[in-house]
Amino acid sequence: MARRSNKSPIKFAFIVFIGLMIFCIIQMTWWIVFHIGEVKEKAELEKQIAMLQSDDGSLPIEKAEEINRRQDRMIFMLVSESSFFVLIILIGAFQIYRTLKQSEELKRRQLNFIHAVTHEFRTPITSLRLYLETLESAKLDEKKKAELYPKMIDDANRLEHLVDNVLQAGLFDQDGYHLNLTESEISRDIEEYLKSHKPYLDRHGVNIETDISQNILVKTDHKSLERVLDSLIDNAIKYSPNEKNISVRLHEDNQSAVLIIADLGVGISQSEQKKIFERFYRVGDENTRTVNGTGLGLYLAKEIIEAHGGSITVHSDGINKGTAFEIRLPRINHG
Amino acid sequence: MAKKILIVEDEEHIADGLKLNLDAAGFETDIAPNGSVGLDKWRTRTFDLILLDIMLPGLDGLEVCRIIRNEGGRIPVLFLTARGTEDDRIAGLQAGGDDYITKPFSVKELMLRIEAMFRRQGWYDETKLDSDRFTFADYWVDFKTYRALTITGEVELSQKECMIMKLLAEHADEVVTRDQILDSVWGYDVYPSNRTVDNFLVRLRKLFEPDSSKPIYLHTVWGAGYKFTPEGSADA
Repeated sequence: MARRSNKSPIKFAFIVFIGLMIFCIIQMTWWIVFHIGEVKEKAELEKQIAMLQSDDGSLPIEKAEEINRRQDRMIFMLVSESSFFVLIILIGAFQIYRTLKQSEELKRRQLNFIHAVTHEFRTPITSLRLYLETLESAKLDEKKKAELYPKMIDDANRLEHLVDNVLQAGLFDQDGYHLNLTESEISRDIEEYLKSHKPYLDRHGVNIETDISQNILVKTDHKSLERVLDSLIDNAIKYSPNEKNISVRLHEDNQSAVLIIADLGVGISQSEQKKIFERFYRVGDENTRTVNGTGLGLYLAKEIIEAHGGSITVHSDGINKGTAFEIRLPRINHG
Repeated sequence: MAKKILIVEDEEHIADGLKLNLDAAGFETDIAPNGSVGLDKWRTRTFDLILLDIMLPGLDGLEVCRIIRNEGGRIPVLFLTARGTEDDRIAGLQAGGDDYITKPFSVKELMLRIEAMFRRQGWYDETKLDSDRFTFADYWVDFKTYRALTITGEVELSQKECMIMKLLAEHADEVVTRDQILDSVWGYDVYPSNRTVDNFLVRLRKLFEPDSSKPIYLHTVWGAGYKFTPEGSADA
């Protein structure tokens, strides 16, 4: 079986580029020194010719100044032109290096995504299969059987949610995502969401604290907004290993409805905060990761909110300091 | 008495499903939702087998298995994982696992694997030889304590090394095929090639052969397998 190579192509490209750069700079320096020498020689010859042509054998001051000016101009031209070309080459090389690095990073993320998706799909399939085989063969009383059905429905929902996420991400890639916007009172949407998800939240031991201002009108696509809330709440649950206290606050300012979903969990480092909305991005490597997920949830949340004309940002004071997501959606003002 | 199985699995539904089926099959089960609870349970109670998920929050399954082996635990470990590539399988076995099953699996397959693991363990525990300490030439191997007197003095053998030695000792002066060794010591399709067996034999020769390039106890029978001659012989 072919084994994965540990050699990084990026490292190799980097070394090649550095070598190339050093070669270009040496070559260019040599070229400048050589030509400056030639220019100086030429100026010296011109001065000697001028001296021979003069009546008294001396070099006229105006002629000498003219030759010196010409020499300086030539040297300036040589240095500036060669520096310009070196700069162009350097910028080009840097661009190529950056593109290579980005494509390498994307490849790594896609591989991680495939691993993550494999795990995420196989988990509910495994438990569904186990439960079905149990129902088929094990002698269970009616009460025990009745306990299994809601769990199987949970697993089916989990699978559906996964398939939806993967499909939606594909739609965003092809600009094929369409929102079905309707005007609604967002406080009511959020309260309804929390009410309908209460059994799920209870099962995960989540304490929800709410502070929701009423009468804020926005245009939203209900299903998409629900998907965003799913992602943020799931994220808060996953990254709160101990007490799962999540606060949901809604208020308004001049232009926007502002929704803040915060947890007291593990937090996110400054460097990770910039990346978490990128597609397939997940903290760390799939081989050592201990938190489930596909790296699509926050990416989709960002795309959906931006498609609504809003914005989503993350705030965390660092590791173990909790995380807060702030969503701003354009407010409708009928007044 | 019912065999006790520890299920270390963070996915509640899978852990429940496993428990239901194993209980129905007559095993006694206990669930640990993460690696550290699993280790605690293994340290404080007695189990006959561990079903160990690899991707666990905090301490992962491979690390749990390494810790168990480092602390001298010889309990059979069956890894459960969503990834079943050869690299993953080898990582699991290098960590000290005995077998590997990829999710999703059928209950029937799981039961067969578990039974096979118990069978291998049972074969090892039940002594066909005269005593637990098998003596040949100037050396001995103790199958109970996993210790052996070798060329380099008294050393501890790994479980697999002991199992191979026991199989060869039970079939002294007979040819034992690589497949026979794989089946008795590892079972089914755990290892991708039977070269693994050859590697173990190389190590055993270093322990018991005065000149491992000219073995007198552990012979290779070309095209067939291995033959153990306790009395020592230059020819296979």
